[in-house]
Amino acid sequence: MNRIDKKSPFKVPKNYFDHFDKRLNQKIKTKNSTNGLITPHGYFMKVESEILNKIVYPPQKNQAYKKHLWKIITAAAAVVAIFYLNKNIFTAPENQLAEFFIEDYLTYNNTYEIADYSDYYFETDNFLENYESIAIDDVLELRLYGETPTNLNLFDDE
Amino acid sequence: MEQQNQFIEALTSPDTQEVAFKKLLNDYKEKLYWHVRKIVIDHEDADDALQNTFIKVFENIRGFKGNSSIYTWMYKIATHEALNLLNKKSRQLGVSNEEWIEKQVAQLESDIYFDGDAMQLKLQKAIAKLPEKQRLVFNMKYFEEIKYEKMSEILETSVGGLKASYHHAVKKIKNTINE
Repeated sequence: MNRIDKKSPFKVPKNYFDHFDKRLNQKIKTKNSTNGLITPHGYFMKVESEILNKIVYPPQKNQAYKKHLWKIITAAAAVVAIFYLNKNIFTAPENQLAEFFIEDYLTYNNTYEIADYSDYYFETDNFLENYESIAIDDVLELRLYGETPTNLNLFDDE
Repeated sequence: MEQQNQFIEALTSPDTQEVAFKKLLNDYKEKLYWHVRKIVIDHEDADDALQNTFIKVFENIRGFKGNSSIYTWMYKIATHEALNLLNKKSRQLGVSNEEWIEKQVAQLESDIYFDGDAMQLKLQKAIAKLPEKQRLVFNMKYFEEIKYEKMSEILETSVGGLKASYHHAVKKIKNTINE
């Protein structure tokens, strides 16, 4: 027995006892850090979902694009519709004007004159080009008073 | 700092903010809860203050300039929320904040969300008797172990002032407990 060393065979980590009291205090403090105040069971899980329910996230970029896609399509359709509608609105008086001038031209010009200028005057575009500055009301007024564009030599460039 | 900037970016970008905010909530909900709970004492009030804090954090994250850590910034918001709630409650009853807190602590014994022993109750009562600033400083230093420098940013008070507040608080608490 005397040969057996009385020294303990167990070892502790280096500086274990130096910091023991500090660690123990820390543990006690952590345990009591709420000082008796407690929360309902599962509170932190519940509060997380409650907060998340109150948060309104702005839409993500790709979602925003999808959300606004119908608006883009509607806007494009509206632009196309307005284009055709405008075309019809503005074409109608122009066609009326052209028809009026053709009728007027046929009434007031003889066959030879018509033959000479038909290629030019019967082109609707040329009528419109030459008379685009004349409002249809003005033309009708002129006609009522017996003065037609033909009489006023509006067709003649010379 | 770089890591924080990346996290702030994630919180402000529509594609990543939902995940980032969940992380923020998960990381800080308990710390902030206990911070506001010690200010308002009542669990329901702490719950209101905590929820308002996170909603404000979410709404104002774009305004966060990064001059401090996001944790400090959130702590500041939480403190304001808790104190605002306290002001509101005490104003409704026509009493001071200190009187309101003393009333709350007096009800702790019957509060189902308090399971402290006699000593802990005595400590709560002693803390409740402190002026508001000292109470804040004592809770943050003693229970939450927040460093004075950080506390100085949160409460916008000099480190010297905070040390003095803590010193006075400890002295008053000792006197109250020994009475």
